[in-house]
Amino acid sequence: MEEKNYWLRRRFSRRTTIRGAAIAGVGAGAIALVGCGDDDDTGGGDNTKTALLPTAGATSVPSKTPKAGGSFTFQIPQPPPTLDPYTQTSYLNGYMNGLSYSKLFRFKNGTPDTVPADFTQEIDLAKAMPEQPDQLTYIVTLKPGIKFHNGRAMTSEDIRYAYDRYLNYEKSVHKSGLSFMDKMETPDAQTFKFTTKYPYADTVNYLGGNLGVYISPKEIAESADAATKMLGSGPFIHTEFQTGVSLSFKKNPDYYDKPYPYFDDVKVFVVPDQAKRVADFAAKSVNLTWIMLPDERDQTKKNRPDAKTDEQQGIGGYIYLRTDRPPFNDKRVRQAISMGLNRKAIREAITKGEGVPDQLYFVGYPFARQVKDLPQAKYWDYNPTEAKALLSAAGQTSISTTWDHADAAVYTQAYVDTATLAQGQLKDIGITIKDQSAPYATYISTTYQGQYEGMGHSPRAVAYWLDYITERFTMKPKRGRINLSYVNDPKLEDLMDKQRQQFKMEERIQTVKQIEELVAEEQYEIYFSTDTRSYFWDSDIIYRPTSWFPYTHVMKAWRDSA
Amino acid sequence: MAQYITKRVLFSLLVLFAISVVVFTAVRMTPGDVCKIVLATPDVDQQQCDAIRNELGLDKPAPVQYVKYMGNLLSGDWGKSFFSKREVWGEIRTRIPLTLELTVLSTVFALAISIPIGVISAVKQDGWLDYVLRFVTIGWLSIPSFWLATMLIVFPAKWWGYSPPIGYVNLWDDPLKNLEQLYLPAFSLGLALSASLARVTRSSMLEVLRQDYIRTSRAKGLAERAVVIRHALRNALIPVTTLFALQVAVLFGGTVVLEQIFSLPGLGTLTLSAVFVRDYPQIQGLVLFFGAVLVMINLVVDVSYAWLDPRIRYA
Amino acid sequence: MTTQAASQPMILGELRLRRSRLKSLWRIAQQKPVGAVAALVCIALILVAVFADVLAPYDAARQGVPRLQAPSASYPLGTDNLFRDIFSRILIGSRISLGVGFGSVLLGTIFGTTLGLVSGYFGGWVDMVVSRVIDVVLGFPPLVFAIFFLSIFNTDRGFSLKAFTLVSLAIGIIITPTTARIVRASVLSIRNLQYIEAAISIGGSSPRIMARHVLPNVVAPIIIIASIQIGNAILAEAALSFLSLGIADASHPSWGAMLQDTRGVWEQAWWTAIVPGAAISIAVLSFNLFGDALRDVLDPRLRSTS
Repeated sequence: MEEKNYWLRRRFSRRTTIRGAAIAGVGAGAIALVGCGDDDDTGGGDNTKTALLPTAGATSVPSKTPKAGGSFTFQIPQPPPTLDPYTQTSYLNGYMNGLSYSKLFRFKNGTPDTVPADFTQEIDLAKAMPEQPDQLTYIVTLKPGIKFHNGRAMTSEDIRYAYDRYLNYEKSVHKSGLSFMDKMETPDAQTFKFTTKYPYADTVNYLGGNLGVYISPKEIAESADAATKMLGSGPFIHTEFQTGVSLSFKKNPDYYDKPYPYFDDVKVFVVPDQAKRVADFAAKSVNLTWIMLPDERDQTKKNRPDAKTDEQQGIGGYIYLRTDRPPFNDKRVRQAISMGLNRKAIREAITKGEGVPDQLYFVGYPFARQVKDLPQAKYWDYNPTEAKALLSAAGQTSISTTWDHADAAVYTQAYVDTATLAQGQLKDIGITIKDQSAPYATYISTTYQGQYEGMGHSPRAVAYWLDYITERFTMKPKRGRINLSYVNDPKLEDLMDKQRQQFKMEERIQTVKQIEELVAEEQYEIYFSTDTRSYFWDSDIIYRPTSWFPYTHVMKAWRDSA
Repeated sequence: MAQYITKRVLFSLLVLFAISVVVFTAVRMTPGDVCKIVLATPDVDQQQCDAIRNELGLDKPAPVQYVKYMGNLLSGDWGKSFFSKREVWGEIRTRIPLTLELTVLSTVFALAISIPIGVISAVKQDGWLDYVLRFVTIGWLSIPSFWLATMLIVFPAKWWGYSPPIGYVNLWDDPLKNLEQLYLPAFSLGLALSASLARVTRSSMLEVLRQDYIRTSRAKGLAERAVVIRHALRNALIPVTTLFALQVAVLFGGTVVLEQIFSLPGLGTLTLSAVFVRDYPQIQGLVLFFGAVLVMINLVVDVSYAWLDPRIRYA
Repeated sequence: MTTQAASQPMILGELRLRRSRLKSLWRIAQQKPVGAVAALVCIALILVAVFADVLAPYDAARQGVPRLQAPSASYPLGTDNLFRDIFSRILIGSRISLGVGFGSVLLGTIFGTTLGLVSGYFGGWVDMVVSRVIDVVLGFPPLVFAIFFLSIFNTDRGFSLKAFTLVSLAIGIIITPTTARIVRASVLSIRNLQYIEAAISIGGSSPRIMARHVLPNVVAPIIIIASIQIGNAILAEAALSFLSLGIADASHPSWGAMLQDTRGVWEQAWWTAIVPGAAISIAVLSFNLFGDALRDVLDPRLRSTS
């Protein structure tokens, strides 16, 4: 019943639905986008309603008391490159780290009865949400009795140690992300106080968010085993990392957040081949799997009619282009590209027509509008005539350019297929593209660093904090993580500066809406549709797939037959 | 003979040295800045890069790196992976049993079908059975192994909900599960090998069957079966053994594809992932390991040739 | 008038010679019907590759046919998941698949023949050095060598002439040792024959003797081993495509890449697995059978060496 209400609510409050796809920290883990889950979605229009809604009774909502015990197994497509949270933000790291480490705050979702798209922060290590005497100061009190897996009690000094290392360790990948942090103090063993350099409205979201600033203690962080072992305070104790095979975890009996976790053992298998992953679930070798392609999903439904399933919005790709030089410095050219893309045909080819037609990058928030509700909606319509007109108005009737992307081994075949289809479509409006597929190492050290000539194409990342847009579009040093389109727009820059200091949500939303329209008009990035991701799990497990990172979905799941 | 063996061993060491120089130089020519790959984050700055390059020892000139690397290698230190920080040799060592077992299983499988086929084909030379068998084996040879392997994963799962068990277990820990995990990749790998072995068995049998001593034993009134199996086959197997020694390298290569498809943690998947992220120490270690094994096999083959045929020693 | 008369007998003679050659070809074909059929298939495949763009109904990259249609009258080999005609792509894909097959065997044969010729002819320290170079190549598992080689040298993205050459070179180097060994053995067997000794004693230069007197006598084994290696090279290209190290892109398909690109839909569209798979198998099979027949005809002694 509750489930039904949930979907009704979703359908009627589409605009307040958080959505968006994330590969925050597309790192080495982006190797394995394949496996990421995401928040679900109601779809872009009425036509997608049927496609996106899970089948009746697919997800059961527990009315019983959770039982402890039993084991849980699932697959990941690649081993995490390293288990050291200081040096990687890849999703695979986040996933594995999340089982053993904790943060000050965490996403609220994860229990079977929480809306998966609820990305508000709740307390984790913190006893309460922070006290904020002013816009620059935060005071956090830790829960009592928190212990690391080696038995040592955690103090506020550990928190300071971790953030200090995230800021100053030369190999840290959070240096620019955490650069808002200023002074840190530990008035007593349970209290952690810090100030920010400027009013930053996303402070809590970053500390509890999906990039994972986990509290990893000195004992492991500075040991030689940092990359292969974990020693945290989280719900599961990391017991084994069998290279190339699996990661094993057992229940942390001293976990501070009772009654979690429920499972006694968690085992994560590394299975690189997609066909093998599908076959494994068919053979009941794992309890949970996720599947990207609708074809494989339908097959899995036939293979395992007994399994529970849920569909979530997956990720989509986007095109970035050199907006700093001709021909892409002309917004008409960029608009033409967007209108030259037949997104519907791409969806039909790759996701059986499923998926959310069009989304702006940062639509994944309660305030967000569908593309069709934007004044600039027409740029998402497939309209080759108009596209050609725009190109000739810009004096660019025949463009020859390049399209850099990673190969199928890095992301997925679907991602490469999208590029193939789009290139074919753009040829029809007079844009001839040389397809440039690169292996992982080349891609990550060139294209991904912004070294490309014409156009590029990557999976989209939506982070769960509003300011992520700043990272996409700013030219200010040490603020932007990844401005691949070389956007240099003073008006946009001002708006971004404005929103990151607006603590009142309603005001901030107004600013973000302006950004949204500006980016839609300018087409700094050109978005593809997102796909759907299907989760399948054994029928005796009470589980709710959530977005990618909250490890809580494993911690809060339980086995009914246990 | 002793002199010949000494010479060959020295040559082998020389070859290994050459391989080490080649691979050491080559990995350093690979495109893609290692520090950016190691960090895999878009906002890499110079300070971070310098720290990484310094930690990995990449800031020194290549010859210095080489001398240091070889010095460590000789004292048993193969270095550490750039990424996992695991010992390179430890990674290789834990993966040897799987790849070895896969290689052995596919060989056993290949021999089990190729020898009978080769013998029957030779005995029934130019008969219809000979043609059919030859055609079938040549047909096997022309199937891409990744195609066959994918078929073996996709369709049993579709039809019977069957897939080999997940999560590799060691042969000694759980022999049955281990074999269930390996028989499909071993089959895919062994099929192509069986085709070439069957062909060599056939031609070698034909040659042996024409020899005088075979005629003699037939004339003595021995049963045809005994002639073929006891006398002919034994001698016909020498070229088969040689061919097999040469095919070990091909088998090693084949495991790369099959381990990847069946998600098996062997040397093949290790090779692929090391190349994928440009993990220099791991790549170097793997190449030297493969090189040492193959050079050793070639050495054994050459020496046993020389032992069988003294003329070679003086050639 | 005189020139015409003078040339007349020559032309006739040539014709006669050709006729007798045709006749002997026919005799061979009767003796080796399988080999003859294989040879015809090989020739057909080569012609397809050469005239692929004329024969193919559509451009390889063209998207415009219904998705995942089973083979039918309008789409003889079906359509793929990206709205493309598989028949057209198979035809055009033969260019990379066979091109890499021939290209790599050509390179491998040139290297192998040169090395084998030089080391067999000179012997001594030359032979020693060449043998060690070959040992270095043999120190790599073949596919592993190609993986290393391509990840290091192929910096091009997507299809290019350079990438094509590099893939051919990688596979060519892999097959070099086999060719070199066979050529060396053949050279050794004729090295001490009288006419070679004679050529040396009248002061012929070594390159000249090798080219004029030695090479012609080892051509047969070279042709045989080359024809057999083409099949292996085609398979190697397919394996590299599977490992994402191939050179195919949307407008330049290869059979191996077509298989890899459609692995996700094999289950529901068998033709996407069977058609490119069959193309590879037919090509490899034909070149192998042709090579076998050639071996039987040209040099029965070689039967046991490969």
